[in-house]
Amino acid sequence: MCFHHKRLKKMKNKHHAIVIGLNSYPVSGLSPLKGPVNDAEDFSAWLRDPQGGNLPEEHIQCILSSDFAKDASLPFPNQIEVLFEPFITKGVQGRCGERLYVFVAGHGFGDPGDMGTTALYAANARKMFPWHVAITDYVDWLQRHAVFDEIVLLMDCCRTINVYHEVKEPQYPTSKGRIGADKVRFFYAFAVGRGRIARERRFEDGRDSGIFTRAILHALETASPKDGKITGQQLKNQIHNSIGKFAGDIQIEPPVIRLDSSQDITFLHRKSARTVPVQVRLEPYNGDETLLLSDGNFQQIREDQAKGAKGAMRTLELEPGLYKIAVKNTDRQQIFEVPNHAEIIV
Amino acid sequence: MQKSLSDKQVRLSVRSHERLSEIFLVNSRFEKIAAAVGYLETSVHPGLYKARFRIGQTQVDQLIEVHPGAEVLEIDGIPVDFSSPVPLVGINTGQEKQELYRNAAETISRSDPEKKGEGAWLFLCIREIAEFEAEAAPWTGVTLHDLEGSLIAEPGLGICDQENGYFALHLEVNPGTYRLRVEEEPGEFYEIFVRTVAGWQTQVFAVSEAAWLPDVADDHRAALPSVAVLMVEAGQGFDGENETSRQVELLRLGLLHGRQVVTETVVSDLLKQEHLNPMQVILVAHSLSGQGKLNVVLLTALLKKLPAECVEHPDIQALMLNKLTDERPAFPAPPMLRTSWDRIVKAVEQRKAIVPPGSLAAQLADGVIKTSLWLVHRPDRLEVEKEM
Repeated sequence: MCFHHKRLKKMKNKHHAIVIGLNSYPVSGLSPLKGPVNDAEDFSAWLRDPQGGNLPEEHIQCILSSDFAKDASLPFPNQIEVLFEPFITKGVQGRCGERLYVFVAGHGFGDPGDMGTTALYAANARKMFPWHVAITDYVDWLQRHAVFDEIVLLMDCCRTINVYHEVKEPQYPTSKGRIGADKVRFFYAFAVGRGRIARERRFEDGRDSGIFTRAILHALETASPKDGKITGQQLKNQIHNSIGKFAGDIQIEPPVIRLDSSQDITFLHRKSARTVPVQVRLEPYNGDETLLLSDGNFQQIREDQAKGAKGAMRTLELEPGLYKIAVKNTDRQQIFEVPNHAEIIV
Repeated sequence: MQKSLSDKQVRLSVRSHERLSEIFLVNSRFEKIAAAVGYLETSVHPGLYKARFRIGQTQVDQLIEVHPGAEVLEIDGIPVDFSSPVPLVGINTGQEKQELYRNAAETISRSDPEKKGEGAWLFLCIREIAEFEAEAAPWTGVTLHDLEGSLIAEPGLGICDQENGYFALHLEVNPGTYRLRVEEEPGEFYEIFVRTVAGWQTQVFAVSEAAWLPDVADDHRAALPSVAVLMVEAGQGFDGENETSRQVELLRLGLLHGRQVVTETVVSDLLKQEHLNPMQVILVAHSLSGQGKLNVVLLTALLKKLPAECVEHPDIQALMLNKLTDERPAFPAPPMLRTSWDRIVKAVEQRKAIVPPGSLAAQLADGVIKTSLWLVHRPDRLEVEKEM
């Protein structure tokens, strides 16, 4: 008889996802983007990952610019909206599942008359025909009808206001919603505030990505658990505290993340945070220093003797948080932040 | 969580560099443990903390070490290099021309004005965004009109400095409401409303940029939604070190970005002053109103600090709609703030205010753009052409 000792994580069969990434807007005059397709692929990979979202492949509905011929001005709004259709259709009757992820990257805009509404331009958008998908309207509908117990909305796009462009309400059935809508847990994260511009850049790994998406994925991967859980609040804390690291030299503005902390979402369960590499350089270096590393509560977590030619530089693997490093019996010390400070000189 | 070496708490106080800066204190797990505006006081266990200071959309972090055994720790926050169209001292430090803009604004706002009326003054200053190309012309498409739409001033009346990318214009005008208009592209006009008051200089600062209508205009134009408006007593001119002007600008940034910087302490401090600047009263009251915290007592207290000549200001009148019972004030001129406009519209619906038929305010409704701060109007193209 053979026993499998390694327990496989049970797939999240009641979780669903809609993932949208649009790089190309050939007829709009909007500048082409380099990040959204990569962002959507990276987020999809996290959704599939057994250590991440752990969704069955068939529960991830994805639409990307790269699904279409270059310069084809596709997808049209309908091709995107069709991804919401099954949930709306079932949602009219009742609950559809535990959690819905909606990930959106591309050129977005805010409605001039409605502070909260944010839409994604479709690839065929033009100045006079701003074809779009009212993403937040769809999400509001799904929340109002308690179609899922939890909704996660991640929008890595601009929310600029263009007075020509009003967000048009989708053609879903109008109804007042259902009892239980107030119990729907949500995590709504926007790269920027209303009227502001989201940013992308080429990262050190050579991949173009949205800065916000990188921060989200990194937070999902590394955030420290509390009682074994990574909650929306912890994710929010980590994103707000680490996004500067992903911005590099680009000036970014703070993201906007809304959740109800009294009924928070648990994104993941894990025992400990994943670590992040931090380089520590001793300057000056005599070859006989002893390094003391303490955590944010002044608990000493490491004591290292620097030796040899390579002793001046070392890499520490640390969980996100605040730390203090000191050279023993000297006044050389430094407090630093992980993941924001990648290199420390002490 | 691991326990700290000492359970004895330390009194930690953090004072931000700016009185109206938000302060957030987080622990070593990035959990927010306290928040305040201007000054934060709390008790913490010894350990490492991070204070975040935020003004508008700009924030900076400062790591703090709270030693075991300490009774009290007082931290002075590092400055936030926030971005503003107003060339105040100590901000926009990345801009090499900041000092030049400040000197120009200080000099020109005190210079002899072009006379277009009597008793009130208007100073307009537009500069290019930091990373501008040579041949910048931030005055492009900018005109000033009276309430009826008649042209009062074109860029040629002011100083157009192409090399340094700024425009400045100083006028003496009649007290009243003016329309600051920008032609974004041929035939596409937008305007905001600027009020001047007898004995006061209204100062309008703008940055010329492409961002606010990204796919409409590649060229830079003065960004009306993020204009800064200050008021100073006549003869003072702009002063980059003026604390009141600085506070007014911080209040505007708070409102613009939906930040709740007007706390009870801030109001209480303001009410200790003998007089308040009209823009302080307007922005504080509207901020409180947005938070649902403006009651009649508080409004009355704020209005008592207002110079008498400013009471007719439409944004003040809009606030007073809270207080009125029998009177139905008339609003022939639009206000400057979008929230004032919303109040007026609501009051008209409830028959508590009057917008005279045929007045500009009566014609506005279709062309109002809902920005988070100023009332931005898109005048009908045919009307504009008729005026010209």
